[in-house]
Amino acid sequence: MTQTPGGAVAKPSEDPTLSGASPTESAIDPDARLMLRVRDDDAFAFEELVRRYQNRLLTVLEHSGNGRDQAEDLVQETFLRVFRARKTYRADAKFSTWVFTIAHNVAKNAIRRRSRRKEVSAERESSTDSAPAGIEGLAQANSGWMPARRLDKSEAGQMVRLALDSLSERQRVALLLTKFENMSYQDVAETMGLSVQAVKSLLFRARLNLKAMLEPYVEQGRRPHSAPPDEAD
Amino acid sequence: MNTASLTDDDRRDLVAYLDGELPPDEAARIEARMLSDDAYRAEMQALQGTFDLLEDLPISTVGPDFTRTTVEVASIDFRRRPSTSEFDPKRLLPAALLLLSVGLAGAFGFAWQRNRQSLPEREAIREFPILENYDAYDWGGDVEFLRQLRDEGIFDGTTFAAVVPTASPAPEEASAFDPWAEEMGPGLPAIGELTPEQVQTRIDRMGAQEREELASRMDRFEALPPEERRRLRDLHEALLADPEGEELLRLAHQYRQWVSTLTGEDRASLESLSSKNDERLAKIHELMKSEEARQFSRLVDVEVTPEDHQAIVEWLRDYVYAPENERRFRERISPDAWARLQRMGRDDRWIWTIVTYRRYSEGSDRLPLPTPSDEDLNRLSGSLTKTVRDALEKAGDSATKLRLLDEWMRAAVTARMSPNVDKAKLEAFYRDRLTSSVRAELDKLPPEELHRRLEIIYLANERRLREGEKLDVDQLRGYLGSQPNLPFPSMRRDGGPGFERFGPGRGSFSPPPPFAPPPPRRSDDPE
Repeated sequence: MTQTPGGAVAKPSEDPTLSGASPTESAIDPDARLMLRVRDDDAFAFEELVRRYQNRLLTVLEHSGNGRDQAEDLVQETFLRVFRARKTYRADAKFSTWVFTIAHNVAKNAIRRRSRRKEVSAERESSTDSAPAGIEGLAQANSGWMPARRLDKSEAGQMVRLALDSLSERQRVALLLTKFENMSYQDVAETMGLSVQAVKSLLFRARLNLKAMLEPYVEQGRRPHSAPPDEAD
Repeated sequence: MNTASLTDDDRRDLVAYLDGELPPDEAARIEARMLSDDAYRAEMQALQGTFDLLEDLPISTVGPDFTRTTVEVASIDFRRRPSTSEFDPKRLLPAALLLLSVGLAGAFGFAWQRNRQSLPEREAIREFPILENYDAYDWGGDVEFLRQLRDEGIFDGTTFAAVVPTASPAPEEASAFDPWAEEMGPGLPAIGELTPEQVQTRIDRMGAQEREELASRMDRFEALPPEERRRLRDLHEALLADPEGEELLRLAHQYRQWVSTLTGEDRASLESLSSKNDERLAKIHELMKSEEARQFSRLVDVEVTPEDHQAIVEWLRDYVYAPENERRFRERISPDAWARLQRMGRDDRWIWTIVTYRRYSEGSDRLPLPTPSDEDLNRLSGSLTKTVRDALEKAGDSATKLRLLDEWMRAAVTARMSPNVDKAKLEAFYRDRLTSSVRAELDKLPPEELHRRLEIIYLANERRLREGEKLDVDQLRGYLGSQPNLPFPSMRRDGGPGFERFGPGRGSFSPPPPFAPPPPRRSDDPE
């Protein structure tokens, strides 16, 4: 199980409370129960939901290509929309899927707004699903990066960030949702408004692109805590 | 390691396997191949290894104030989003009713909970006396302006109870007839120094909605420019130091309440005169007369110009002050009340004389008003514009004219006594106080007529509440019929014109209204 920003989250398939077509108060996930209390104007429930999800949302939104400040704004906007939609909330969907769907839509709208204002960087604009930028080029562009040098965790994080940045926005989001939110393909599909098959293809390309850019560093053992693949598994 | 033999389908399956998305039989197939195919296994390990590198990304953490500000943003958004646009009862949807009537209290409570935490508490406590009177101070100008308001007698607090002694003048009775009392509520803030502990205690005792309102005022206060904040503080200090501070504070609240009933345009015109007290007072007079005329026009359902209204008011005033009629009124009103009436200004005294006269007849047969003469009626008719004169002439015989005149008199009294109806209050009344069947009846009316009827019902209900009663269904129907009753009731129980059927009135009355047995009491008589 992967450590997530908000703590470990079980995959839907591992969560017995998610079975059943019409969830009752006791059968739905705890966050959905909290949201039902928010629907009834419970202040503390809303605050608790904010606490539970703020870092999780921020992590995904920040790493999916938004600047830190912008990501915080998007998280706040997401919660505002959650709050505005509270009266129409129905607990028949997993809350995390619902809230990340809102966040995804908020982020997409922000990207559209930025596009209209021509604020998208040329680098980001040139990024496509099938044409990742080379990691070497990215590394060279980042001053002080020496391939022969061992990377500490912070530097490794930056390297991964550069690799991630070279992916398309959709690939990034799909990867981050599976990695940090342990989302199933079905949940990713719901969140991103895609078919499960499309998500499968999206993640396949994303993983291949990521591997193409980071594999040399894994193979050369330059990551401080990386283990040989056969040991890691 | 040679992975060139692997196809995209192989890799797609590997990724799905690593993501736990393959059914058990396919997963078993992948695992079997990994045992026998080194390249396949190496590819799987590379995919997993690079995916695991994502864990080197830092977990983002929000700043220390993020949670609080996010909840605040939500609560502020909640306060701002309810529409304050033009009132149209027909646009009220069930969902809005539910939100406003059921959810509001809870949501306000929550909003306050967050805001309360977020407010600089010491600031809130320090500014509490100003926040408590914020709207009044905001509109109150300075002490000099409030003194001028008092001297002009515009909001002089003259009340029915101040004029009419009751058999048992209980304190609640004193305010029960104050047309402003309902607007002010029972707890008009008293002026005086409060210790921080006293303030804290008062805040602790507040309900959720009061706290929310206080938090909202704090927001508004903090958003003011420094010089405006200083003006509010100066006004508060000046009222504290003034021996007449309590009275002036009450005036400030009355003025603020009146301002809140104005249109945005009228409010803006007053605001533009905030530094010119004399002009502002003249504007206040003008707006009050204009609104009184508008309300009168709505109540009588005739297109009455301000000049017509003024002519009718002057005629009624002359009628009340005519020596013969004044003698009749005086005979029926206690000496104390009469003395109080005489202390009132000429502009107000006639209204209160009629109201007092009627009040004294409560519980017994109502006293009819002295009948106006033909000469009186002709004089009135001659002072009206053609439209209104035609309406009077069309009434035909004298008895019908008297009925119309009685209606105008009641409308004039209502228009003067009842402060404008705040749209929000009217909306709340429509939403919360009327039954669905009454609302359905109202909804059948054209918008303007709906508004007029609703206002009439509201005013009638307010009047009944002040008298410790409330409208019943039959009375409500009286306001929904083709000829709605007026809020100020007829002087006669049978609903006919409140003037005497016989008697000289002032001057001769010829011919006298024909005698007829009193009609059966109408079920829709509000009394």
